Amino acid sequence: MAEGKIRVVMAIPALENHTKGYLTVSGMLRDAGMEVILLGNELPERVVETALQESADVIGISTYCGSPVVFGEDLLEAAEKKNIREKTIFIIGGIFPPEDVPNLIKMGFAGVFPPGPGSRREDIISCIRNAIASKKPN
Amino acid sequence: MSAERTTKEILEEKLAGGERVPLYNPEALKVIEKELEEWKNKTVREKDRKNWEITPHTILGSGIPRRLTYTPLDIANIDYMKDIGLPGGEPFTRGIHANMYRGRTFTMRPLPGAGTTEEMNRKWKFLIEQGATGLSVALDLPTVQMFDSDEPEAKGHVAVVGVPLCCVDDWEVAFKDIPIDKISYSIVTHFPRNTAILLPMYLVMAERRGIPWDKLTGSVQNDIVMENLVRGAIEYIPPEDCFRVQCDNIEFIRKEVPQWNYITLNGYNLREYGTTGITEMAVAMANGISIVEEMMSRGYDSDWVGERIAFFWAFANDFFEEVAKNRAARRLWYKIMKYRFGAKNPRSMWLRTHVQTSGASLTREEPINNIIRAAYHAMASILTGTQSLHVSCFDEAFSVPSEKTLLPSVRTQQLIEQETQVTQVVDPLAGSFFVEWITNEMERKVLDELDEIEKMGGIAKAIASGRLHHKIAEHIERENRAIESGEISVVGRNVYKSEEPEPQIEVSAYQPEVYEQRKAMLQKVRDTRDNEKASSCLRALVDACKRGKNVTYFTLECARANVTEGEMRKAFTEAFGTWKPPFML
Amino acid sequence: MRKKANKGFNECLPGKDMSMGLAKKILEGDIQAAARLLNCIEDEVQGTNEELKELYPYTGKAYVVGLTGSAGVGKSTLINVFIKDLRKKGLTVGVIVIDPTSPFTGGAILGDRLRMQGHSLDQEVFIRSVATRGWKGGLSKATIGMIHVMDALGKDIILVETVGTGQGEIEVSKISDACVIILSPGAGDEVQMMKAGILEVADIFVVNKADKEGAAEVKLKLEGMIYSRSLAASSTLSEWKPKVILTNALGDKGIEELTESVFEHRNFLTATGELEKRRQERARTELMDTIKNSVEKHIYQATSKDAYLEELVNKVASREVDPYTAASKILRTFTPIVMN
Ligand code: B12
Ligand SMILES: Nc1nc2c(ncn2[C@@H]2O[C@H](COP(=O)(O)OP(=O)(O)OP(=O)(O)O)[C@@H](O)[C@H]2O)c(=O)[nH]1
Ligand SMILES: [Mg+2]
Repeated sequence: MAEGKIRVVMAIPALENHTKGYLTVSGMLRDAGMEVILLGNELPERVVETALQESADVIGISTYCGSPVVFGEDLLEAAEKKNIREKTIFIIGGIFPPEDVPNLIKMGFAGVFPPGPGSRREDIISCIRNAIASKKPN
Repeated sequence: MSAERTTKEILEEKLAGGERVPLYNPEALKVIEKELEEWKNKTVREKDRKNWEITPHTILGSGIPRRLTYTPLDIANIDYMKDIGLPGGEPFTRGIHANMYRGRTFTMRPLPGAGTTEEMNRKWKFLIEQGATGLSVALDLPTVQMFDSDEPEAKGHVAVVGVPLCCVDDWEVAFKDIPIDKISYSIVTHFPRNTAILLPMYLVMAERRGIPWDKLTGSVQNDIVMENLVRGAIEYIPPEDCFRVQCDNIEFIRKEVPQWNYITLNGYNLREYGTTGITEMAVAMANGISIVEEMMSRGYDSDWVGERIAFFWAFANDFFEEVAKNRAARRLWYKIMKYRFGAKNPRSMWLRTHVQTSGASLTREEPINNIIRAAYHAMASILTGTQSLHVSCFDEAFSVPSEKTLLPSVRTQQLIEQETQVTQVVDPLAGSFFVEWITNEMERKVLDELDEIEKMGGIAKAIASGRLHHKIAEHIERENRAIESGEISVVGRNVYKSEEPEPQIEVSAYQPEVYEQRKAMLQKVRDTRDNEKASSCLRALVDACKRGKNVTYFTLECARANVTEGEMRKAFTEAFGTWKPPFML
Repeated sequence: MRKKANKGFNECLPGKDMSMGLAKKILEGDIQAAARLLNCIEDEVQGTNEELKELYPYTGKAYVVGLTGSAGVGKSTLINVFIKDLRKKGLTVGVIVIDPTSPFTGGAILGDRLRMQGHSLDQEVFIRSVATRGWKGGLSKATIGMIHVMDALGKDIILVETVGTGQGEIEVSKISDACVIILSPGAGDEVQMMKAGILEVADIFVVNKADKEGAAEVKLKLEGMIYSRSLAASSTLSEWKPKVILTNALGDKGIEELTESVFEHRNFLTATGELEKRRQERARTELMDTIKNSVEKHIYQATSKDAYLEELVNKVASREVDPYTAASKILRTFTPIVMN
């Protein structure tokens, strides 16, 4: 009877004006049976505090007009401080320089999703599911 | 809504009756009807007869059904002079100028990309040397969102998608030695609040250089739809207050900067967010109507305010729908200004348009295809006589444009103008049975949606109700599903895909050192100004907001006292309080 | 039956030792541990009850306020300013906000918290978003357990926002000390049609969005209703007459009055012994619910193993056996139930 639901905290940087990607992806995750906690525009530190209280499995960020690396660094640092970096899966999407993609992966993002092939509904969902499965102790 | 009746009701009453002179003679129509029936049965294949009407599916399209073909029967009721008229004459369906592009070609306004104030200064000077007469100011995200570059929220965003301009000193650096009395500037301040904050900075910069304000030409957007409906943000002020700031700006600019276009009703951004051309027009016009009403209630007449209202459209994939949009919009706006508001001056009945080709229709996949798409969008807009145009660049889904990608964008326009010869004839598509039919359809549908919005109580109340937000959300979801299922075809994405790797594209990136420089620079501004003066100006601004005085005169004083953008934003929020849009999921 | 979603949650999985060790941490004020236990309660992870058992002796201190009302009346916005006022008075706050689970996909969009982000860095405010996961009545099955956790974490007051699906969401009164019902202007007709049950459980009425037209009218109607009810009520009852408060949550107006009312009501409950009574009722409900749940779960687990349950279902469906006989048959086999 028990049903472990995947819980995702979704946010966009504090000043980001583009919400379309965030809304679209949130809807996709809901439709995949996940519980999506919407935060809207937020600072990294506060995203982390929320994820902690919500005991979220995933933090998703959508960004179009800034550096994902700058936001990502602050996010991961805050997560480290709050001791949830290990248990949390970080994913990010939107528009940013292609050079940032490998950097984000190196920093610890489980999935980086610029527009285009590779960022479809199924790609995002399976990225989350796989990342969760790989965290599961056998 | 202060009027008891909606625009639709008023127009229906005022335009009822009157003698109509039908364009087609009834005898001819009868013959056509008979022949058509026969043709349908004999010549048209059964399958096509069954699918006589097909609903088109396209990104941002309205899905107005299309018949296999059109005849005079579809527009049997048309009265040429009343419904179509002559170029430059009522009802302006065919355009606002008699000679259209033979008189003056469409303004080409390249967007300059991103960078620091110094870099932007160089870019603009370069563009002027290249012969540009109009320029655009694209702001970086913190400046757009009314944050100073040194606020913690701005970290990672400074100078990435535009130029940071958050105090008069910035404007002085960016515009140094640029002849602002000779160049028209489109300052892309989307919101009423950032218009109230930033335009005065431009004016104070001119003042310090001894350039009188009546020499300045250009435009701002100043649109509540952008501030409270389209953008994502941490903080909003209530729609009613935002609407008031919008009108305060109009009043201030109309009086103090006579050649400046004080409002650009922004259909574009709403459309790109996710809606049809019909809603794009209806919302923009609803705002226009609310504005004229408000200004009339402030004691001005409709000509006083109507004269410089401009519209800003997106031109997207459904070619004929876009063609019809501009024609229908001109006719409808004319009717509104003339019959609802009693405007006398033809100029205030003119619907002037700036067009930007749709960015949301452009793809990340096979980006070169975007040049082709944008060329069709541009062609549609020129065929309908837009006043000014920006063609989106093929790197749209990658970054703000670079010089390399701007070139084909500018060339697209020059090519249409110099090579295709379409600009020789005014409103060349008029008289097509299909074009006139779909123009009528669009007008009718816009009027219906306008009616819905007016029944919610006008633009501010409609936004406050959250219904427009939900409409957008539904569109986004539906459209995304339709693209996923292939119902909407997107070449290179879900049909005719290639496995080619993504091409290398030069993108705008964040420079961490700029953030540090900006912090130091703003600190210096705050350290060297008369802080007592600055805070008394801010207090006066809060007070003006609360007491219903025209706020723009007070932001002007703030600008003079070197108050920064973020400081003014906070004053607005303090005075008006905050508002939250509804959930969209 | 849906399959268990593919999810791993280290701390929640029954591992080497059954105890997750969360309770101890929670009692020390560890937010993360509390958050984890909340997940375990929701996901019905094995071993959760052990933790709750350990916490139970430390609960019963928090004051629980349920807030309910139709969708969009401003519950979350009101809670946001309510928290602010409670914090000003030095109280620590726990908040449980509930949104519906989509019956089609099993997923949910939880958006209430977005209205309260101003408090996200305040360590004394703990907010948790919860999906109904098919539970009826505007709550989720896990709500009571969650209240216990927040209580044990030391929150002075716990606010519970129900799903906003109109009237009838009065389940929340069964789990709270005080029940606040929120309306908005234009709810005049709603008041007229208000079921008796609502008046019964409402301790405080709030007419929010008082900045809009029609709020005073709703207030009047409500007061009229409360008055006529108090006349009708038997005189033996030490009746609390529900207050009607006008608020403008967006403009932060009328909130002190709400707080005062909640306190006043609490004093009334304490003075009259009503609080004791309510809590006793709550204990009864919780005990009965727990029994019901455990029995159901136990029987389900035992019978589904060897398809015994399915067999009986088939027989009932084909009218071979009636459901009453079938039920007693199962119950007889499995009593006495040994609970874990
Ligand atoms: C729609 C749009 C807008 C709308 C936004 C409305 C809104 N509320 O969202 C409007 C018109 C308002 C707008 C405005 C601006 N925009 Co704009 N906009 C776009 C546009 C056309 C589409 C972006 C989009 O929403 N796509 C829809 C989503 C669903 O598709 P997607 O991005 O492919 O999403 C997929 C992936 O990215 C990924 N994904 C995205 N987020 C996430 C999150 C997670 C967790 C995951 C897992 C995946 C994921 O999954 C998605 C599904 O496959 C892009 C150009 C383009 N074609 O991409 C420019 C673009 C993003 N805008 C841009 C800019 C600069 C602006 C402005 C700031 C310009 C200015 N200086 O004034 C203005 C600001 C206006 C304001 N005042 O607020 C630039 C950014 C440039 C850069 N980074 O270098 C772009 C790239 C255009 C350009 N080339 O110049 N914009
Ligand atoms: N004018 C006005 N608007 C308000 C007030 N309180 C809330 N709102 C607005 O009403 C809308 C809904 O507010 P929420 O707080 O999300 O309402 P809710 O009852 O929690 O909604 P659900 O959880 O979805 O049922 C938002 O747009 C709020 O900004 C108020 O006092 N006055
Ligand atoms: Mg809510």
